[in-house]
Amino acid sequence: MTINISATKRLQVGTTIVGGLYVEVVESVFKFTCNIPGSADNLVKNIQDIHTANLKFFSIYSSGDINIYTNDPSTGSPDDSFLMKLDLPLVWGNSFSFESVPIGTNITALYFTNPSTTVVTVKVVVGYTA
Amino acid sequence: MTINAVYFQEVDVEGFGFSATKSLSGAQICTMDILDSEYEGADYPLEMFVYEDDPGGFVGMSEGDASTTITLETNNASVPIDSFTITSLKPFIYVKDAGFDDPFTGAVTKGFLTSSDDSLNIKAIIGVNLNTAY
Repeated sequence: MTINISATKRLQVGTTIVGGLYVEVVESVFKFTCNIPGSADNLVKNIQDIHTANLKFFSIYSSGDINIYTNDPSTGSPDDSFLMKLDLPLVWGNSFSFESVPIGTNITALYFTNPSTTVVTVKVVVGYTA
Repeated sequence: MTINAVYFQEVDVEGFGFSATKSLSGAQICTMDILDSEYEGADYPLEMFVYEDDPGGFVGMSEGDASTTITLETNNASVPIDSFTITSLKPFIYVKDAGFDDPFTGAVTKGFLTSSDDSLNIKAIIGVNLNTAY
């Protein structure tokens, strides 16, 4: 069975548009939402492994500024870090992204640091081929 | 001159997802929408960016044919600092703070375009130093 992930990345100035609507066809999807309380400091969330092998789609959205570290807190040696900003989600698809895979190491835990005092909602979507 | 841009991203899978719209502004911007470009095999100088070391801003490059490419080279056409080969299947879109590392390795003073096909429709949007006017 295949699953279609629809993704739009569009940069526009006037009538000049770069990018558009893309569809990443995957065979399995892992997705979740979590709410990170205000002033959280390296709050850990253990997750189903996110593997780099066969990874075809990876995205993170946050409803506010938040720092995310993989596998180890910011005070340790995280493998990857994502300093997320409001209205600037990370969207990567194997078939349409110029960039290489945004994670370098399999992920088993995420650490969240919320610099604000309000709750931030984080959404993650991951897609794989078999 | 400052020109405003809009960066829109949306994801949907089985009813789960998100959408986000970010308004951007940049100084020293270049916006091109060139139909049937004439830059095949030649470096076309874009006097477009004057980066300082702070790689703020946004860049978008694409063309209208999946089978051919355009190349963006920075600073020096003969010995570029950075070189990006772009197809319409994978447009080059970099927006500061959108999760990806800055693709430029240093300061950028000029960009050069080379097309592999003179029938391409090239689109380019360049804005630098986000929210900062020179």
